[in-house]
Amino acid sequence: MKRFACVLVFLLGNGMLIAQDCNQVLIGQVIDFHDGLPLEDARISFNNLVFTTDNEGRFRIENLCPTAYAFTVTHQDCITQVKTIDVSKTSEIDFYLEHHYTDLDQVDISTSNGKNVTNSLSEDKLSSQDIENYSSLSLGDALKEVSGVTSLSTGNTIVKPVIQGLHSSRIIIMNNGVRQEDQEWGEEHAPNVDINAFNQIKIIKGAGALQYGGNAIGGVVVAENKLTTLRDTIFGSAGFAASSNGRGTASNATVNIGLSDCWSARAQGTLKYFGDSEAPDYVLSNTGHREQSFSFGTGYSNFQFGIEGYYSFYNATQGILRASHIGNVGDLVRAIKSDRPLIEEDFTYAINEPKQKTQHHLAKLKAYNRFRNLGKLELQYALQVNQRKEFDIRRGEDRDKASLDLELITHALESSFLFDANENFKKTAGVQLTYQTNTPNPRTGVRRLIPDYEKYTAGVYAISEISLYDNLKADLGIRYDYIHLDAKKFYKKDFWEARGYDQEFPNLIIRDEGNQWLTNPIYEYHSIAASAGVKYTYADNNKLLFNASYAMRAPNPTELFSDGLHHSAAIIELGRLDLDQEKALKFSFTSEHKNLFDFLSVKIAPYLSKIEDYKLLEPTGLELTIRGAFPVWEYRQTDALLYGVDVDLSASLTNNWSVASAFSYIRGQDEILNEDLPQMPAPVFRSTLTYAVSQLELSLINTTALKQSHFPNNNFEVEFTENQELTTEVVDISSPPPGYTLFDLMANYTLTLKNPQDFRVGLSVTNIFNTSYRDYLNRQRYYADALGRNISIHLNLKF
Amino acid sequence: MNILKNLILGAGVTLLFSACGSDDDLPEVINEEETITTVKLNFTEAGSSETKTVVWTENKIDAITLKADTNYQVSIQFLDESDPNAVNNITEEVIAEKDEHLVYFNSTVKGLSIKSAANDVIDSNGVAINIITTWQSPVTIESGIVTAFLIHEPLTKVGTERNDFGGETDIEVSFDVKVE
Repeated sequence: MKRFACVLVFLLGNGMLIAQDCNQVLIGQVIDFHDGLPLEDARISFNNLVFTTDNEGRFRIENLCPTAYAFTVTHQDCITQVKTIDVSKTSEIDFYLEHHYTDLDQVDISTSNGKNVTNSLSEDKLSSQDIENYSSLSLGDALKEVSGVTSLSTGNTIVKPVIQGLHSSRIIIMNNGVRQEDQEWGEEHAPNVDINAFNQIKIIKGAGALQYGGNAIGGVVVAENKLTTLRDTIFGSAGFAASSNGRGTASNATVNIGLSDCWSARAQGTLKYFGDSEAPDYVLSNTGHREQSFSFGTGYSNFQFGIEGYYSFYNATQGILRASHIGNVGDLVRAIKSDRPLIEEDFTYAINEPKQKTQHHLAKLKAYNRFRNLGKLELQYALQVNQRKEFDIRRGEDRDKASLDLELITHALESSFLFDANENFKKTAGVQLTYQTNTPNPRTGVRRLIPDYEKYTAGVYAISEISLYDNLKADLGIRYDYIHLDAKKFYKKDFWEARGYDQEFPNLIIRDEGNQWLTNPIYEYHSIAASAGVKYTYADNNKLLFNASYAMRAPNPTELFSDGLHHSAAIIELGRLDLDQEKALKFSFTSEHKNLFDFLSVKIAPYLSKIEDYKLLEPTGLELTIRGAFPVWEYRQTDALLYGVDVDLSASLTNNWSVASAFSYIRGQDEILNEDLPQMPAPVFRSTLTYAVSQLELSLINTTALKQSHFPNNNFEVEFTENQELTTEVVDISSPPPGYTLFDLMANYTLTLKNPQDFRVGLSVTNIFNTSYRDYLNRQRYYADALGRNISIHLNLKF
Repeated sequence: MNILKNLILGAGVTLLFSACGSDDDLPEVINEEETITTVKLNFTEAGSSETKTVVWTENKIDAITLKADTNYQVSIQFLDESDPNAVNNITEEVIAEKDEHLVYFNSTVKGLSIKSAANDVIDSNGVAINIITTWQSPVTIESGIVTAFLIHEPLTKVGTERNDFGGETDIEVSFDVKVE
């Protein structure tokens, strides 16, 4: 029998000092380093006094003198660990104990896990247990747990995160330290990442995390999974989930190895196989999906020096609802009027057109070196290859050809230096160079929606963290990016003239190709971003955060160049060559109050954001083709004002019962036309009632979305010959669907097989009452209801 | 350790250089092949062998002129003429996949009756798909619009107007009709 051992990892909390004798308080939590779960009944002892943690792993030690104490922390049969803490400088500390199941030679201490990325912006985290609960779903689904984060989806598997109303190019997703480049501009392009590749996900709502990029005016999702810092160990987990809706399974496994000579490695893989999903009243035909992914990392690290290599591969095939591939605007009108999809078939595992096939390779090499009395130098190179194929329903020889076939290759070289010699004034300076090429395959026989292009960017940034007082910290950052975009784009000659480009951009033409011009638009952008904020900590770790940030975002290739038919929306989408950068100024404020009346925690976070030259897509006319009429949608830039509030409440009612509730509200206004912005999430409440007793945890979750009452009127009229009459029909694409309320149930039971609490059985029922509903931010809301009831069984074994 | 760092730096620099060097091969043009460019209606008056053809393309839309109180046999054709040297007859493909296709005519012309002809294409469920139809024109002088639809994967092939069939519209073309 292997000995059950633990390692202690510590994280320094925020310094707070009340300069009086022996009335210091130390609070914190004892947390499983590996899966982020709080550890109940952990013992913290000093000077012959013993404190134990409650069922949330929390402890509170009062009447301490402002001096250093040696605390001993133990849990079950872990090795006892001792940590010296100067209570005059530290009032809150989280102890990270790691469960793993082999002997340990050495105790390892890490300070990175759990640390906030910025001081002054509200950050939310998903723990590894949250991630396990979503193992068969996607990153976008899991992030909806966080207030202020909603999703923009195409059906139920293509799910993009929306942070405080902003999505796609306005958000950065950090995939294990690398900025994900996967054609994220498209509304129906979900992040090409496997959620099981991560054990922690952080969400930063705002542009303040300048080390990741300057153009994330919506925010940053930081998903990562670090190599183990434990020595002489092998541990991991295996998970399996089976779901009734989609009649499929998801399996994943992870193995971590830590050798005694500072080398460690980690391998992980996931397989998903699902057939058609079902709405309460019908099968959602052609919505099956498959996903295979794996990742492998290995590295050497000691306190002074480290090097790490990482590779991940993601491969997915996703069916698109058959009924959402529509022929023309007449079909759209019929779809909007009909309660049921206009194409239904029996359940099948087969995935036909329309569908997407995406592959993403990511390889990175990273090294760091610490310099005594100076800081830490990091250097990283990453290569990403993203391939996206979209298949429409085609005829004849083209039947099996993709309509869209893009290859996006991104090289990124970056280096940063953290000056941390002075604990009260930390600075990081960094540089990032990227080179990106996009190559559409000309064999599709369909004109390129996104052209060939090359893009160079060079960014430099400096961020600093200053402790003004023990309870007041400030952060300050500035970043500059140079962007050079060189595109080769074909335009139909009649279109080129109709748009007036022959007058405006006569010099862009480089070749005559019959009825098309080959043009060479070259853009250069200088983007500035800046962020400043403060964090004030008072009475028992309550916090006030304030942040102001300014960021610029260069137009993405869709906004500039798109030029073609989107079958999923039955629209002809047109970009514009004369767009400017978006310039966003955002103020965010967060008030976090813990232990209100000893049982309640409240977090209120209002924000206001003013975005100059905000890009949006709106209908401008109709174009007649042999398939019938299609609305033409064009990009427009306007000045936008976004404001809203995210509220989180949580309360421990009794020892066993707790409740948590999150609410988010956002308004978006077009300040030039004085109307509402499209695609703003409706107000949403998410509440969880949890009952936990020993190994059983039961949660009842309610999600209530109100009807979005603020939306622009983008309806348009078309002429029809129907019912033997020529009629004019208003196409109501604007009206949001009614609000809805859904209930989910989640039960987890933790068992002890070979080692303590190493096996978890979970049962979840989502949409218990099989409610038919449609979501405003689902692009398929015109065609079909969202998912009906889904019963899943989850098994998870840790070893 | 330093070797490693140099290696990474070296790789990055090489990469940026090679990136700058690769240019000048321009992308090749895509001349889009629209799968269907042309719809033809071939009219044969009952008791005559003379055929009149009415054509719909994005550049030219013919009008239909019918004699009053006359019976016509009408066959519909879908063509891909994007390459004039290699015209593709898509009608054959529609007939080969007759189970998932339906042609439907909608008319605003008072008294014009359009029905499946006796020699129409019948799918495997015994439903005629209106590739060949008979048009009985009204006795009075009328005018209006006839719209031809090619419907892919209809929910049902039973119905009297476009809304009844569901499915995806592959073709929707309208013709002005005069009954003289």
